[in-house]
Amino acid sequence: MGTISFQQVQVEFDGKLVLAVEQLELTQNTIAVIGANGSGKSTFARLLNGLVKPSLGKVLVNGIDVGTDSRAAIKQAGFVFANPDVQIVMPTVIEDVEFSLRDSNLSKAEKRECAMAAISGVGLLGLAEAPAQTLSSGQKQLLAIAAITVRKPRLVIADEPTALLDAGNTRAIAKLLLGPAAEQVILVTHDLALAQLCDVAVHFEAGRVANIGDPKEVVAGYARQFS
Amino acid sequence: MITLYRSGHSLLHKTQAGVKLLLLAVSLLAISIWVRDPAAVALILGIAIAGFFAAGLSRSEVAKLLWNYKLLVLIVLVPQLIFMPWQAALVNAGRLFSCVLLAMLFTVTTRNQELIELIEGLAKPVRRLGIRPQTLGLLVAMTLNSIALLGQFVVVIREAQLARGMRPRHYRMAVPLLVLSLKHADDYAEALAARGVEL
Repeated sequence: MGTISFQQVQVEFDGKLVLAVEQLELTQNTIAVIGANGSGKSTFARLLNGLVKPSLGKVLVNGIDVGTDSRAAIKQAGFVFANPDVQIVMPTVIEDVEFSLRDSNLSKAEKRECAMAAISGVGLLGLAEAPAQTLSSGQKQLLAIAAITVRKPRLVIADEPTALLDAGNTRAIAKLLLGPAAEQVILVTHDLALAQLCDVAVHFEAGRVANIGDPKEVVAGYARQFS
Repeated sequence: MITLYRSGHSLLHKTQAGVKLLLLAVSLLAISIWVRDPAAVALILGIAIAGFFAAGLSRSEVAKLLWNYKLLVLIVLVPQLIFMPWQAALVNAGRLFSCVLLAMLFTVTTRNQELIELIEGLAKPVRRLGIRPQTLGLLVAMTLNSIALLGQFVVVIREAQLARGMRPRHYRMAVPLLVLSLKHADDYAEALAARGVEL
């Protein structure tokens, strides 16, 4: 079981406080993170794998202090970005998934086998040799997920993974991520229907946790602001 | 990342990247030293073009690929036509064009991963200078592949300018292209870090 723990965490950018979380413990499998633009959701997500370091306090993910051991934090976490174009490093589908395994001790043939399995898992097997840039937005996001899950990370963080997708692709991505795709999945989203499918929801407002608990209740409380 | 690689099972695809690179280097040297008459240039061009068909490219793909180099050919050919006999100008332009085509043939039939491994292998000595060969391999491969990405950015900027009623001009492209490229580089760096790439 994965554990995320925030202890007196503050994040400042250029002297401006963008996130402050006093105490937070998350042990659920699927965690939705909701809130308005600029509320601190993405900063929260980036803290979990060390892309952003806390200015104060401690963030522990499965016992790893991401502020001091970002290499281990990155190793145990996979990050899915809103725009898959920035995430795709290699030119073809199979090469991009294999790229995630470059530091593993697997042989070439084993890497290929693992990559093919991951590609098959997201339903892109027929496109393994296709240039990644010719894929649709939904297919690119599926590729991004395959490239992440092939490493079998303990934590998957998805920052608005369905922001650029239609309803059908959103459903496919949700099914994969909330499968769940790892021991713990963090889903940062503006899609409130999707958020309600998670085990728990965290609502951020002005860089602070405004509400946390049952997704339906948290989402209803957040949605009331706009009614 | 955009690739020039075309997947296939031809002999050229199966040949090791190192062997292909060596053959390319020898060919370029031979063309520079020995190819001096129009018939030889035509033969080399023919071989290069035949190489694309052997690699499994269709007639239209080859035609498109050749057409992409029209500007290069004109830039090389026109000044030479002014200053030297047309036969010599044609030979010079033909030699350069055949070298470009052979290099393109290497790119079209070589996977990015093979290219990275090849560069990493060749760059092993630089480890003594404190540079990781893996970083160099990734850098070269990404640079080569990102050139085509700039073309995509130009299209996006052109469309945005047209949508706002502006006539796209080269001088109007520079700043947005720079900003877009830098933004993309930032996002790319973050994504690489998230995938555990150590540069």
